[in-house]
Amino acid sequence: MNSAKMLCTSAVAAVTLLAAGCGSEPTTSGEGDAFEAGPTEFLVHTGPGGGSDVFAREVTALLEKEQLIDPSSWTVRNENGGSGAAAMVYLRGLAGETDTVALSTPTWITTPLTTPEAAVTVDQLTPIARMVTEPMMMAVTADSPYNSLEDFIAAAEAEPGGLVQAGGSVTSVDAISGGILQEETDVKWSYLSFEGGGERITALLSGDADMMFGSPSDFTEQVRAGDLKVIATIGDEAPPLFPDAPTLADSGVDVEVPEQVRGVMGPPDMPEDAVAYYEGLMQDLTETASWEEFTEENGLTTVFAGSEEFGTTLEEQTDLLSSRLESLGLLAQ
Amino acid sequence: MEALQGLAGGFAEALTLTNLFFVLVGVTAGTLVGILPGLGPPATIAILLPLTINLEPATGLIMLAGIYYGAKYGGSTTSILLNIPGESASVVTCLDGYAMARQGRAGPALGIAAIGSFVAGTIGIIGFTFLAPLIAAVAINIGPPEYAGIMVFALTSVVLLAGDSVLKGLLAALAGLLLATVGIDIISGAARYTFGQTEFLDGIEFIALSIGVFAVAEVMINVEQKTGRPIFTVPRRLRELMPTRQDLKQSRFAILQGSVIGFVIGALPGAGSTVASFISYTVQKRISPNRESFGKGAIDGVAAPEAANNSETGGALIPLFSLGIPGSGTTAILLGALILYGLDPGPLLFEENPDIIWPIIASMYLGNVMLLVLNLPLVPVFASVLRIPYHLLYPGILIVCIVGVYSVRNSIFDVVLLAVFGLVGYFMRKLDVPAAPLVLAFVLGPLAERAVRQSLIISQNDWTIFLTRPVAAVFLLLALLLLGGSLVGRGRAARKEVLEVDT
Repeated sequence: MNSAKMLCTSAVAAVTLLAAGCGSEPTTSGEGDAFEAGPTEFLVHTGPGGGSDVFAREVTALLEKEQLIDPSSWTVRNENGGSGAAAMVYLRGLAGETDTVALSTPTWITTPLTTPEAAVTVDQLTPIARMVTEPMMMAVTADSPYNSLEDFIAAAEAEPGGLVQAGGSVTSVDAISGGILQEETDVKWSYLSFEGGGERITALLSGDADMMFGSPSDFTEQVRAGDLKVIATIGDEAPPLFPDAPTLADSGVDVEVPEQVRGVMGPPDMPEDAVAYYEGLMQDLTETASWEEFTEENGLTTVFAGSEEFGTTLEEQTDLLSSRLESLGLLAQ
Repeated sequence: MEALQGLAGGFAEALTLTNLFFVLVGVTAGTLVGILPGLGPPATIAILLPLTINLEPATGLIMLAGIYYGAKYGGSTTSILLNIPGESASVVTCLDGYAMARQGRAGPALGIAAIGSFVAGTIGIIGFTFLAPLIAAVAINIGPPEYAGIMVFALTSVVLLAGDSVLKGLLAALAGLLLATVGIDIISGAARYTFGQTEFLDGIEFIALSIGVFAVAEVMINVEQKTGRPIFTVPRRLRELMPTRQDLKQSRFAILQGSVIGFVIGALPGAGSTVASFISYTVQKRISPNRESFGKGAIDGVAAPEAANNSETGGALIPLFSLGIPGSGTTAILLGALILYGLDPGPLLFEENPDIIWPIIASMYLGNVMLLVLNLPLVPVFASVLRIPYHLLYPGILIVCIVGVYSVRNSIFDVVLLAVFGLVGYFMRKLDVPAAPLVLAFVLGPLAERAVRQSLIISQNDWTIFLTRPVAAVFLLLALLLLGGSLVGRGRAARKEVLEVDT
């Protein structure tokens, strides 16, 4: 009987926890009125536990911790279909509304470019704030003969198609960046797609793949343990975690690669005062100590910019990605 | 010895009142999440993560781990009682579990699932405690060619899983493979068979397919029969609601082999509990003394996959804790949790944070005991669900199905798919085409396809890679033997039948 009671209590506790996490119903503020901060939905394009979802939940927790928003006033909403397409369709449907913002990643740019089914493009939505970028590093096993990007390119030249890069989907930023480097240096290597991040590192460690692009945090621990070495920054600035990794310019391949920018977007025609509110909120957040700690732990670089500048970034990235996807033969007709 | 010392220290920490409480909260939440189809452990952990961040790291992680392995316990409940596979790992549990329920043996089936889960879960953690460095070193060398071998072996057994007609089994499996191709292919970037629907870009939702062809079809068949005769008989006496000594004896070996297979497969990144439960079921079907009763309510057909599903946890945590490499959705989110708690998950984690890792391991021994204590008394309660009159039970089942499918990604489209697959399942039943090969081929197909294509990228299109990599070659040979053996066996059975008819 006691155990039954105990079971009951803990079940109630668990359900309460779940309910607290699932949050409240969406509410719609009246249109035309001056904007007032209230319950907000934070839209992400991955399911619970996916990269963007975890990031959004973290941001929400930090906003609460820093008392920038009322407790429990923000809830994460998952619209995880079509590699971002479902979330973008959902957001477009909220034109003019003020109580939903979304977390965007480069997927929001590449999906509409590569899949004809994805009807909404980022330029139809309202940019609010640019938040972080994730620098991209090139890693090989510790005992690999390659000690620089130049070494790898020279080896690829000697053995066209014989070397293997491990990574995600063929339309992901690491694949596109690899493609750009091959085009630029006129060499050829193979690309091995894996669904999960774990499989990629495994392939690299076992020798099935020869190198991999990933964020600093993908590699820090394996580097510390002496299993991997990071030999280059695939970008124009070495991150604090790997200050000595030569940049693309240092490596003699001075070419622009897409950036892993994460930002906050709103629905089309979001009223200016609402945009200004969310923009200010995000700026305040990026200036806190707990934000600094969070980004450092996750190997992210804060690149805050407001609505207008973020819009320019999105345009530039769209241009870069579409021209590169076209030459890689991945652009949708 | 080092492991024993670490474990002792871990127990000292895990046995504090706070930690014990959070083990209980974790495993209870896990059991609930496991019972309900739809919302799975990764989603639950992701949602709870921000709420647990103020706990001590060891305490928070103890609770989150509890959700992970607790959910495995609950997964079998709806499969056995209602033919609803709440997750892909429970598909094979439906086969014999639901058959047992129809014979009025839901209690023993649930009981053996709980006992098997406890034994296997514990064996998995023992393996994790003492073999982690060894297993991690092996797992890292299992790559695409090896997976390709394992998947060919698994797909071969899928066809043999088919009831009486190999041809119908093959048809169902091919339909499953075809359905699995829908969506964006990550290797080429092409969107396949999406018909312009954004909803199809991520492929067909597994839960909609499996619940449709299993549970919804079952409801339709039963409603159609409209017999006054009860479909389920539920014994009144409590003793008949528990596994008998004979049941336990029959399941002993199944639990043991399921534990070993689950643990080993769990340690391989990317394979997961579906493959584990399924291979263990197939193995049991080949070696069981009562193999004729498989698919018709064999208790070791429930024990083996449930054991494999639970010991898989111990295996899956090895790459995560000893290398910092997540092999599944749930371990990926646990990796995120480790980082949030300020740990550095990687090859040095054990060395640098023994004070946090060992209490988690110790808590899993305790959690498994708690799960057994929680779940066994619930067996008669759950078994009594089948006493509910049909005019309430069937609408209830449909509601659970619809809510479960909708909750995966808040999609009405998936609910429509559920209805479509319910119809498909209904006609398959009418034509006597088995549903399990379809669903399992749907799960295994993409894994097999990717593994083969990845292997050929590695070898630059040299097919001999599947023969020069020993593990791959061994599995291909096993597949060949399985196929050969089964054809000979079937030939003999057919001949015997002919002779019997003649005389």
